[in-house]
Amino acid sequence: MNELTLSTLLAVFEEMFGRHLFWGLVIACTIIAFLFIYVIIRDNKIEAKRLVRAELWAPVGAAIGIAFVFFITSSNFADIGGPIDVIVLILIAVAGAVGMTILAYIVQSLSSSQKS
Amino acid sequence: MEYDFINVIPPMRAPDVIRNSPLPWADKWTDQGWVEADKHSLRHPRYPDVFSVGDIAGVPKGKTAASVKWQVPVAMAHLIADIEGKQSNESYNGYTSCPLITRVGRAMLVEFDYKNNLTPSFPGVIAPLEELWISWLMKEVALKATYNAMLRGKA
Ligand SMILES: Cc1cc2nc3c(=O)[nH]c(=O)nc-3n(C[C@H](O)[C@H](O)[C@H](O)COP(=O)(O)OP(=O)(O)OC[C@H]3O[C@@H](n4cnc5c(N)ncnc54)[C@H](O)[C@@H]3O)c2cc1C
Repeated sequence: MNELTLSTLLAVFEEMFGRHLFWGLVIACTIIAFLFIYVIIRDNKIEAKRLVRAELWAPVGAAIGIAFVFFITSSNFADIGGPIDVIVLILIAVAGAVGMTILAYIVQSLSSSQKS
Repeated sequence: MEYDFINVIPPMRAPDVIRNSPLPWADKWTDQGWVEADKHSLRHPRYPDVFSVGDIAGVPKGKTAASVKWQVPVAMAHLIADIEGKQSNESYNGYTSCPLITRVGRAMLVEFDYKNNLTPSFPGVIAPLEELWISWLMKEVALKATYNAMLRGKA
């Protein structure tokens, strides 16, 4: 059991979030991913206008991602110690930004279809 | 008195059930009663079918959950080899881990072996001798989760 396997990672994540929350998040991410694919297939393209508007939400997502990690780990910007810390911070921001952009795009696409 | 760092360790010893048994060392840690063990195979020299892992093991390093992670596979390999009538070369190198919290928000993830060689789990990524936020993140969210997963036999 010295190797890092997928089942090890899953078990660690289950312990980290709690089993229900972890699998809940996995299901939520899967649904969001499918919805994203669904609206692209439905519209037969990525709507440029919507994407630009969705990207306006990216900084919000980045900020929420960073704020969330700082909150759950009782830390803040003053604790950033070395280059690796900056890299981790950027990765968290990117994850938040991408997630929020996709979410904003889906919300616009679904609500615009309701109007039409 | 001025100081930069204080580390207070309360007295520690094995539970009565071990201390009052024939298992502890006769000439080492006699006030604490840890189980006599070969420091590499973790096998008891006088009772070859007894292995010790975890805090109870009378080896010069260890006493962390992180050590247990590397001790268990060694003891397991020797047990299985015994059952199969073979010999195992698996050896515990004294690996232990000290997540030193230097303040709320920063820590040092210091890992080392019997010879005090640094044995970083993430070489080139997490510098063991620097106070880093990533080390604090590891300590805050990843380590306990890993040790809990270990108790389920999954890590
Ligand atoms: C404050 C603190 C912080 C720590 N931080 C870290 C860390 O960050 N990273 C890390 O790797 N390690 C850490 N450790 C060390 C880690 O907790 C121990 O090394 C680990 O828990 C040892 O596991 P064990 O199973 O060997 O012993 P234990 O966890 O002590 O388990 C022994 C069990 O045996 C039971 N028992 C005793 N007598 C009997 C009996 N007669 N009959 C039946 N059951 C009995 C006890 O109740 C206990 O549940 C820390 C320890 C402390 C105290």
